[in-house]
Amino acid sequence: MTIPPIGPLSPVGAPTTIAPAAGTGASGGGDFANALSGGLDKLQQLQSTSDNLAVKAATGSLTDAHDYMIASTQASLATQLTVAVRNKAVDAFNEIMRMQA
Amino acid sequence: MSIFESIGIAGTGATTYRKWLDAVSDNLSNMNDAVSTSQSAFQQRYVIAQQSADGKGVQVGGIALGSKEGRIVYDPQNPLADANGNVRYPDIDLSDQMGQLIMAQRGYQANLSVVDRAKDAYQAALQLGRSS
Amino acid sequence: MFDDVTSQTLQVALSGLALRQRVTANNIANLSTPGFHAGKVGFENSLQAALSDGGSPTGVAPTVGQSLEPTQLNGNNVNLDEETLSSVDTGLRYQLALRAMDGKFSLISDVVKGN
Repeated sequence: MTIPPIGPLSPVGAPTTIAPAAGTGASGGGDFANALSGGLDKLQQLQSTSDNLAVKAATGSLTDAHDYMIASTQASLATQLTVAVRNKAVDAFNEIMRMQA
Repeated sequence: MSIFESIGIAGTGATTYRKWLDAVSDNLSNMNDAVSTSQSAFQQRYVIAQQSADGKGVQVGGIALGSKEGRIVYDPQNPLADANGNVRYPDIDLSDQMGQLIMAQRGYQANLSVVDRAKDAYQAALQLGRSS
Repeated sequence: MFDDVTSQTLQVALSGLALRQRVTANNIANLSTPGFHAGKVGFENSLQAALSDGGSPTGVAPTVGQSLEPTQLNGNNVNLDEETLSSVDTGLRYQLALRAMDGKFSLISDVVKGN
């Protein structure tokens, strides 16, 4: 039985580049900075809402006690979230710096 | 009392029902006051309850007085009897007053239980977010 | 960090509410004392006034006034329902103010703990 010879390989086409999603790549870092500063603004707003409601509670003009409790819990959770994001960002930065060494 | 308003509103209810209890006990203790026919009998006390001026709860609008005529009873042995042997007694019905007494007591208890439940609800609100 | 308007307001409120609890207990204890007039503690209005001018609440002190309830035959004007409910209400407000103070401190400790 004759074994047919192995033919030449057909060239693999050049890989098609996937068009970068809008906003990634060089602008990826800008997005994260925006998200972080937006988060800080929101946190500032939540803390000041919580402060205002606390003052209203102290002067007896707060209509619903749960309003203050909800605002206070939101501010506390947002603070913890911001701190966690900052920690992760710092860890990631340190990781990258270690890589270069 | 605007933060924990339910407690203040129930408080106005409790005060009004207590005044009703006071009025009923006044009526009951004076039920058999005999006077001569030339004087007016003890007048039954009625508490007028109306909605509170600021719309939060109830207030006592005033105390109305019942009839001065009372009942004329023929009792010539009584030292106060007039020439015809008549004495004037107040026109207060014991069973009616006992019914009112029960209603006032139930109303008072109902308002106090509102205070209790509102206190539990507010304390639960104060525990929001405390599990950490 | 600990002397912003909110913390100072809460401190005035806490001392006012504690005074109100003591005065209420005194009123209830003197429920049958002839000639006794119930006391009432006020601080919310003066606190509100001090804050609305944009001023500092540190100067506000709670004041003890006389209750204007009608007196009974023996000159005593303590209204038991009013005092009992005031005690419940003041207790709840005290808890709320304590939670508010705690909330402010825990924001700082969340950041300091950092993890």
